Amino acid sequence: MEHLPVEVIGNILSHVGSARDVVIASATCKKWREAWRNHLHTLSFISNDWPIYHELTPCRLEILITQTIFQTRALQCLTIFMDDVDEFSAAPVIAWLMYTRDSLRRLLYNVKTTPNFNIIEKCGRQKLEVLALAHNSITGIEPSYQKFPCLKSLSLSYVSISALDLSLLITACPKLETLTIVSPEIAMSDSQASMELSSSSVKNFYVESFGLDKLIFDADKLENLHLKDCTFEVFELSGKGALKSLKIDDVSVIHLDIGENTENLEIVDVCNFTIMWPKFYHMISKASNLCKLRLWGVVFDDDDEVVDLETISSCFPRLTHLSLSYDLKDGVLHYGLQGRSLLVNVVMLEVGWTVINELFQDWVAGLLERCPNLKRLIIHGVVSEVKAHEECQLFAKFTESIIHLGRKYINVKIECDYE
Amino acid sequence: MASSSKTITVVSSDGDEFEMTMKAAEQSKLITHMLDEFGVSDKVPLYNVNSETMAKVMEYCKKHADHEAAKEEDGGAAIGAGGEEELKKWDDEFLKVENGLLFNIILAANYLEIKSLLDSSCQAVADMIKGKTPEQIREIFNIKNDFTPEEEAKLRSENEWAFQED
Repeated sequence: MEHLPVEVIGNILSHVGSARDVVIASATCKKWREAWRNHLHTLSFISNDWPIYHELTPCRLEILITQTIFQTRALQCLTIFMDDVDEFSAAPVIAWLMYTRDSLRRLLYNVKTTPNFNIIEKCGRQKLEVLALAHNSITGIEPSYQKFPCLKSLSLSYVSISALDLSLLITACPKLETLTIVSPEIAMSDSQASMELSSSSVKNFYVESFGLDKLIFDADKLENLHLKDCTFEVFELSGKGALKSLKIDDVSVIHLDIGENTENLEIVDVCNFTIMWPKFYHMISKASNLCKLRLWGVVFDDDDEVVDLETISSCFPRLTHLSLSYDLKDGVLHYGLQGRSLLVNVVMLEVGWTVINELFQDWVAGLLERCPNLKRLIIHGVVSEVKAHEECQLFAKFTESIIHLGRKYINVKIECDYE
Repeated sequence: MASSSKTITVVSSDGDEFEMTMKAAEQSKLITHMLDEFGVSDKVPLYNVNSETMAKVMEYCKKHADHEAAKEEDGGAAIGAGGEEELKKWDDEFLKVENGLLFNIILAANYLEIKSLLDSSCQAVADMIKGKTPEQIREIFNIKNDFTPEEEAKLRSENEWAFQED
């Protein structure tokens, strides 16, 4: 331990991260104290790290955070996540940002500040690579002199910002790769409630708990798009077709457009969604490089619509993972399994039910027939607490059929996951 | 650039020689830099690292080089998220060594500029420090308390909030 240079001790203390633990450790010996004062690069104040945080008043917290930060030098990562603090006053927060301006690379801050001040203006912008803000307002973006030349990741949660400012902020970040927006409060200028964002660098876009009439995102390099718990009338993605992964979870969107060029699309994961099959099919049918397709808990807009394996095998020859869970109806099942073409590359199949019925085992058997190179079958089921006799019988029959299938397809590893 | 099937030889402070593939060597920024500057033909002397530590570092570099190669091969399809988790588990097991060797690994990773190993090994020590009092930390790592009682009292009063009992 004596041989470790003081910078390395600083690195070790930085991995401890939590402010209280680091401060206590600094009392170990003189070298550690020096490491704490001059070589610490990461410091965090997270309310879950120490129960006593919950007992301190915001004022007390402001004081101890200020005192602690001011003992360090050249901090690169600062995290302040105080979940049950209603608000901090602006003065100490501004002091923290000004003190760390020249060295800060990562700032994660989730406490509302009063009175509201322009965080974007006060925080160090030159070296900042990661910025995550929550429960604050962002106003008055001036992209001409407020640039974030190194910012790679921007996350805004429960942030109040105008549509214009958001779009300006994104353009002020020429190297932005990851953009995360959770439950924003967007002030709109016109009554149409639409927003257009544009970025030539963003690769990952994650949106959660957001509702808008129209959202257009022009992103040439976008590779991963993930929408969760959102409501849009129109969601349009335009760009050069770099999209690799599309994930939609619990979203309501009437018109979804991911562009004509889908040749790079590898993953489509749709969960808890109402699918208008012809439209959806048109959107993904040219994704000939698709590897993973998941349609889970989906409802088809038209009762007659169905996902048929013939179409899937012809459109997606490279498919390796297939996950399907939706209500099975008699005619639908039959049509879905029509045809003979095989899904030769599928190695993993996941199927699920929420309410078990007799059709399920026929469906699984039919699917297994079409996947000659299958290695893994995972069955997800929801088992209700109160089991009527009829349901128990269905379940027993189902278990028997799975055992039978297991014997028939000995190369397939079968796993069951019930909740 | 040399092909990935070539190997280079490094020499520890104890004079033992260790062979490593180019891909494994690339895990270390220092070795990569030295090879760029001075070429691959000579043996690379790493006199700051003893044999016991060198063997561990070699093992780490090989594992991570193999993992990277596997990722590149099938476009990440086989590795997936599970693969990264597995590697992390491997790293955790790999670092379950006695403190002396752990510190030597940290020093070696620092010197050889192997960022991922430095981060993992520093995190392993950090995990031992979390939640401990200064007395306990001194005990675990055999550190001498070189503060005078007055200095120690001053230090505690400067950050009173952290030292208050739960």
